Parts: sequence; C-alpha cells; structure tokens
Amino acid sequence: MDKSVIYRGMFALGMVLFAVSCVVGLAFEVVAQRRLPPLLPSPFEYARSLPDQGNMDAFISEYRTAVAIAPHAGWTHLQLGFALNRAGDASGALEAFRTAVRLDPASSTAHYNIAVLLLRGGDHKTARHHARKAQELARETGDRVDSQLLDALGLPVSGG
Amino acid sequence: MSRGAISIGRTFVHPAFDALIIGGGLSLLVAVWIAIDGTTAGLVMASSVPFFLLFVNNAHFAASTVRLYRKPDAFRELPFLTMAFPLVTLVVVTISIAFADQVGRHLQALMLTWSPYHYCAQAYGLAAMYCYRSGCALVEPERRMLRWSCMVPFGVAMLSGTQAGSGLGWFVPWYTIAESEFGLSLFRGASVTLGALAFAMPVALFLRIRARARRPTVSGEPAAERGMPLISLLIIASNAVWFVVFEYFDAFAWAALFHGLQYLGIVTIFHVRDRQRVETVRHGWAYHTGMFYAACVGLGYLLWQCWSGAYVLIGFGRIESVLMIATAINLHHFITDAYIWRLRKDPNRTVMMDTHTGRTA
Repeated sequence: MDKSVIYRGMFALGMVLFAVSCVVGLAFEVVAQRRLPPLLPSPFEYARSLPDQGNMDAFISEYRTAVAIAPHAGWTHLQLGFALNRAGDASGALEAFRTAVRLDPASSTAHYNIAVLLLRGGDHKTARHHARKAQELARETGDRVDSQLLDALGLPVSGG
Repeated sequence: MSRGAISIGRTFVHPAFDALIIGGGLSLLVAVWIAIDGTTAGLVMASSVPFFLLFVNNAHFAASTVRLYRKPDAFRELPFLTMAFPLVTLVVVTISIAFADQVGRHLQALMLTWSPYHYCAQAYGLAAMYCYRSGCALVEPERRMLRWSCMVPFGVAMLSGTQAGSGLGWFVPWYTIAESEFGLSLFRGASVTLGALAFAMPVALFLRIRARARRPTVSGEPAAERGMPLISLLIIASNAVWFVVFEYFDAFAWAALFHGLQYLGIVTIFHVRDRQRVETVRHGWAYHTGMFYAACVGLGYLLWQCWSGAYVLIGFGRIESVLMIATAINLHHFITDAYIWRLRKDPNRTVMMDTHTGRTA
C-alpha cells in the first residue's frame, strides 16, 4: 500500500482519537467533577479528596504510583509520607520521610516531618537533630520552621 | 558601523522587544526584583501562576504544533511528523499510562533530562541566528564554542537534577553519590566548574570574535564583519542564570516561564512573516499574531486541561494520567521543535535574513 495512504489514515485516526479524548475529558470534568478543568492541574488534587470519601487504600495507592513513576525523586517520597501520616501509618510515614531525606538532603520539609514524628514517638535526641537541620535549611531559603516544634524540643526559635 | 563595534544586533521587532522577550532580559529584571523584594515578587508570581500557565507555558507547547501545521509545505516535506506522529504519540501515552511504573517512569525521566537540553539548544539556535542576522559570520571553532557555551547549563542541570530523580538521578540515586566522599567531592567540583564555565565561556567567545573582527585579515583567514551581537550574549547569559543561579525546581519554573515567552515571541515572528509572504489576501501582522496566538492558547488548553480526563474516565489513575500526558506533551514538543526550525532549503532562512520584502512583524 502507498505510504502516503497509510500516513493519511494514521493522521485521520490520530486526530479523531485526540478530539474525542479532549471532548470526553472536558465532559468528564464538567459532569462528574462539576467544574471546568482547573488551570493548575495538580496530580495529587484528586487523591487528596479520597480520604473524605472513605477510600484510604486508593488514596495511598495514588501516592505509591507517584513513587513508582519517580522512585529517585525526593518529592514523591515526601508526598507519600504525608499520605501515610494522614492514613495513620506513622512508621510508614517516617520511613518515607527518611527516604526523601536520603534522596534530597536539602529538603527542610522532610527533616521537619521526621522531627515531628520522632518527637511523637519519644525520641527527642534524634528529633532535635532533624529539627535543627530543618531550621538550618529553611534559613537558607528564607523560610521558618514551626516554632511549636522548636519549643517542644527546647530549641531556640532564632536557631542560634 | 566599524568592524567589531559592540551593538545589540539586528533585531526582528524592536531592540527592547527582542532583548526583553527573545533575549530573556525580562527574566533577569524579574530576578533582580526577587533579589530586592523577594516577598512581594514571590506573592505576585505565585498568584499569577495559572495565568502564566495558560497564556505562556501551555500556549508555547502548543505553538510548535500550530507552527508545524501552518508551515508552508509541511505535509509534503515532513509526512511522518505531520501525519503519523500524532497517532504514535497517542499510543505511547496510553502505553505509558497503562505501565506507568515500568514505561512511564523512564519516559518521565527522559523528559525531565531532555528538557534542559531543549532550553539550551534553543539558546544556541537563537544566539547563532542573531549572529548571522547581524553580519557576524562564525568560523567553525567559534560555532563549536558557541554551542558548548550554550550547552554547559545542560551539564549543570544534569547534576542538579539528581536529587529530583532526573539527569544523573535517572540512573544513580543521590544517596549513592553522597555515601562516597570522593563521589561527593567530584560532584561538587563538577557543579562549581560547570557553573563558572557557563558564564566564562560566552564572555570569552564574545571577546574572541570581537578581537577577530578588529584585526586585519591574514593568511586567508576570514574576518568577522561584525562582532558578536549583545543580544546573543544576553540569550546565553539568561539561560545560564536560570540553571546555574537558581535551585533545580526554581530553575525549572523560571526556565519554563521565560523559555515559553521567548519561544512564543520568535515562533510568532516567523509565522507572521511566512503568512505575509505566502498569502494572496493580505492581512496585517496583528491579525496573524492574534490568530496564531489564539490557536496556541486553545490547543494548549485542550492538551493540558482536557485530555487527561478521558484516561481517568476509562479507569486509569489520575496521577499517572496527568504526569504521563505532561510528559508526552513535552516530548512531542521537543521532537517537533527539532524539525520546524530547519534552515536549509527552508522558508525559515528567508525570514531569518529578512531577504524578502523587508516588512517587519
């Protein structure tokens, strides 16, 4: 068969499939979600609504998918840590935050969350280490660490 | 103008427009604003994110496709890209969503790694284009040096992306580097060296071309009719600032925004001049600009905001659908872009040199 005929057929099929996908996608957002697609689509936005629907397994599964897609990225493990913490799995969350720190040692947020979970678990010494680290990293980017955590660990808010 | 004199270069629209939008000068002004008043700048920038996404970032991704299909003779000269590639992309998207943890994972890492290369290649293309337009004929070693000058920030991004799982991090997780003192020293040394080279090389090139333009020709060596235009230097420097000065994720945000603006500016100029050259019923530049930009915003909205919903509806997860479609849009843009800027035997060359009617967009 003539190559140009194949190309034309592929073009027609591609255009039809893309057009149908977009119309169906738009209709799905408008009808099922009752809104126009958000201008800033967050892949986690839908996942965050799942616990309110009582679907905790699907909630965690969404975040595990993100980790599977970007296993060497600190931010995906950080997000998984938040999700596991929300689901009540403190040890799983701690493990995820620790992986986030191993992959991205400059993550103030990961250090902060490790400190919070360790404080809850009674390990004040290690919690202090991570809180200090979080404070140090936050200062580099002009941010601040929650003073409640620092107070609870007896650390100065100024970080001195 | 005397040989080797310093000038902004031969611009397309106006020196201010070319320097701010295509040269990336606006990004440097915003960077200065952030340095002076980071709180206000951060608030304004953060509240403008959806606006910038829709009207700049998403539109620029669509612009390569709109340009491809509006380019004279594109279907005849690029049959696979214009006719078969959309279906191929759809198939790849579907496979990567269905097998996100096996196929999608590597496609996304490829996209994140290719992205800074694409920005740097664009900087090279634009810098070289302004050189030729401005009468600065580059000899081979200078052309190579220009390419390397533009590509150094890609090396920086390959390293800085490690903690985000892209670049070097696609293959080697950060902790394997951090666990070895030698590895860590090598990594830091390479980062600092590349960061310094990203600024030193273009300045050295600028001075080298200027020196060649000023000295009398000897032993058959061609003289540069003009020195390297300042806008070329600005393009390389702004690209270097995005990747060297800013943190990895900030660099991506800045590069995405200002690269998008740069891209929309130059692609619109080429489109408008092409249309004005080939059309039988004459329209003004404002008409062509408006029509082209509207098509880019519209297609960008369909691609980024509407497309993923279809995959969610048929049962795929939201996360893999959104991430893989974003990946596919990026990769499609990079590939399309590599073809639409060809110069050899292409109307692009006419536009670049303004050799037709001399009208300006």
